[in-house]
Amino acid sequence: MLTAYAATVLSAGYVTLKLAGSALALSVVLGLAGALCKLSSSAVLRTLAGIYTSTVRGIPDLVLMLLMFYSLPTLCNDLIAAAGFEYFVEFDPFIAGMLTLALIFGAYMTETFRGALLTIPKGQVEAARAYGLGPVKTFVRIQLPQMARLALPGFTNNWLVLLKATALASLIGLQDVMLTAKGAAEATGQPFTFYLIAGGFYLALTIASVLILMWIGRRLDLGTREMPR
Amino acid sequence: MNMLGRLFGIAALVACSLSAQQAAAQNTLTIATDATFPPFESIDSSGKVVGYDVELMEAVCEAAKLKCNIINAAWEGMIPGLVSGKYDALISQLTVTEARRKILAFSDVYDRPVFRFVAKEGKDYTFTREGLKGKTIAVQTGTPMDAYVTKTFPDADIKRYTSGSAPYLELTSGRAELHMSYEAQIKHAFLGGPDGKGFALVGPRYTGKDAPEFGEGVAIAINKRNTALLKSVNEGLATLRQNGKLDALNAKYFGAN
Amino acid sequence: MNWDIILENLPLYAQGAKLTVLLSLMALAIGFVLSLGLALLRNSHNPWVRLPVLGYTLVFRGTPLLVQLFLIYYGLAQFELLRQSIVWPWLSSPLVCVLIAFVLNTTAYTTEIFAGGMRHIPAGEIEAARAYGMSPFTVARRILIPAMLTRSLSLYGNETIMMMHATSLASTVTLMEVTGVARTITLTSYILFEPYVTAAAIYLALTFVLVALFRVAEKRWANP
Repeated sequence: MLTAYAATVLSAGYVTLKLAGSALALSVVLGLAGALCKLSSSAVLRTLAGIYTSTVRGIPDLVLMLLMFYSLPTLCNDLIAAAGFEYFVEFDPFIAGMLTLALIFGAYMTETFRGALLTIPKGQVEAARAYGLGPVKTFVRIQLPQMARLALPGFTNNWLVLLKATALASLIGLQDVMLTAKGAAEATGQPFTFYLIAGGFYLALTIASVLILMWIGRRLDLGTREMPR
Repeated sequence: MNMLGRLFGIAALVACSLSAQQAAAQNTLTIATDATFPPFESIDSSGKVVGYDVELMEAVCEAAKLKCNIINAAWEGMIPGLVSGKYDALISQLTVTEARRKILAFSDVYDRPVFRFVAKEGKDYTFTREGLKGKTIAVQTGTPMDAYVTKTFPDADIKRYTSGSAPYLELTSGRAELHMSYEAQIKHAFLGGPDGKGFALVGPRYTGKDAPEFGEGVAIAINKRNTALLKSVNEGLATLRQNGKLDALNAKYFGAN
Repeated sequence: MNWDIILENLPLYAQGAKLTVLLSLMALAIGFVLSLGLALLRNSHNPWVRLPVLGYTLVFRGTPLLVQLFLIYYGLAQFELLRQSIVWPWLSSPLVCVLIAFVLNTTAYTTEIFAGGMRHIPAGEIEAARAYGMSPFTVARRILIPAMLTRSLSLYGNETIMMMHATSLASTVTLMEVTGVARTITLTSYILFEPYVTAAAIYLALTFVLVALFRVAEKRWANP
């Protein structure tokens, strides 16, 4: 009986990974956008990005998730009803969890990418422009590859925190490793066993991620002559 | 503008395409249950939602020719979720109370539960405000039991849990002395099993006649505006009563009632 | 909008905020003291000392706080042995369990932050201190720890904010801090917008205070 529950808990790992992966992808997009905003010459963009990162980093992840899953649809639906329409908006726990995590880690990625971009010597950008490369080409050919290497430690850190933050989605009803473990714990009266299994799952993923990202780091560092401080 | 614009565009597209997925599949009804309440609703070892309410709902849908998808949902957002249209119906041993009638519509009552306390065998409790002063009582938040205990025993140390089965863990560990729940649930999900050894039902048998918090029986909750669904569900329930399926279900789970 | 329900419940929110601050302060204070010692051990030349500390920080930084909390609160209570022991009156209290989980968690992160800060202290400073005849304890007290603290200040500031946010998880084990109050209101009043927005506003205010405090501290002690 216990092994059946244990198998179900671990197979829910697929949901956790899917959640973490899609949130990561979206957060990278948001992070790049945010970093560019913060480094742009427009004060409006800088301020908006600043408000975004400060607000998101000022509210606990759990509260943001509850806001996204419960409060945002309620607000939208109240507004829609007030405008006289019949339509309603709602997220399922996966979408709400993914959007929340993307929003949160988009803010952290913004800081990571911004810091990495600032480390690239300005002279390189100036030289590229002098050669006639447009802003997009400069970014893609010169800044982005270096940024990837420089941002890797921060990126790794953000990914590891994101991976663990997915456990919060269980609190809005997503059937991930955490919620499945909770159900098994309560059904069998063996909470220690199942939370230990859940913990083991996350720990294994953490170790695997660190090893993979260290390998990627070594590959990206090939060809560089100095270690950036 | 270029790079930034493209990035924002990508983000917007991704977000939109995801919410577009929500608009699909409108024909199947989404029915939510809080699957932490065996034997009425729970998750079995393979992760499936099972239980009395689940089978009942499936039978009602079959009788009323509706396509239903019964999902496990967080208790926290179930009732507001029904009101806001997130779910089409709720089946979760929901008691029909005045407070809930204000915001939801209920089908015909399909069961009339009795509420009891469960505690360690042999201990004597006086079920008055004075008698339970300082005692720890575990309840599921937002249930009729929560409402009753909060009102009647305000001097007790009331612990609230968002899940229906967490209080039992607290009982067995001794963190809570008493737990109030549905008598059938306590008997069949707890007292019969290994963890329930040494525990027993205590105190009076409460029903809706004893306090308004206990309501008038349990029913399926439906959005007030969805009168068509309400009619179909009631017709389905009536069919089950007539063809004996309801009695058979009761016998299957609770023996001769 | 149902702001009247929020107004009715403001006293509850105030009590919740008090509990949030209390939990954060206690966890951070105990964690701080423990991390000072553990950071020194973490950088020890002796692998028998260094590796267990590394193992501890790895496990507690590699698993979600929610799992750690449930393991300590629900998991430990599963064992008859623990329930009969003298520690049970402590372990049965949700507040104690929550604090144990928070302390173990924040100590792990803070230890790594302080240990990292310590690694970058110029060797010359330590050699000079030893040349002056300072005992290892005095070296630690007068050179290592102050240097480590000033170097770690901004990262530690982040960690204090993370810890304060993490107290919201206490709501999952019956504690009525700010998030717990918000979640209970949604379950008893059936409103989904106002309670969480109020909770978010409270956390924003608390975070703002913490950020301001650390900016002042950084200006004074760790001129960047």
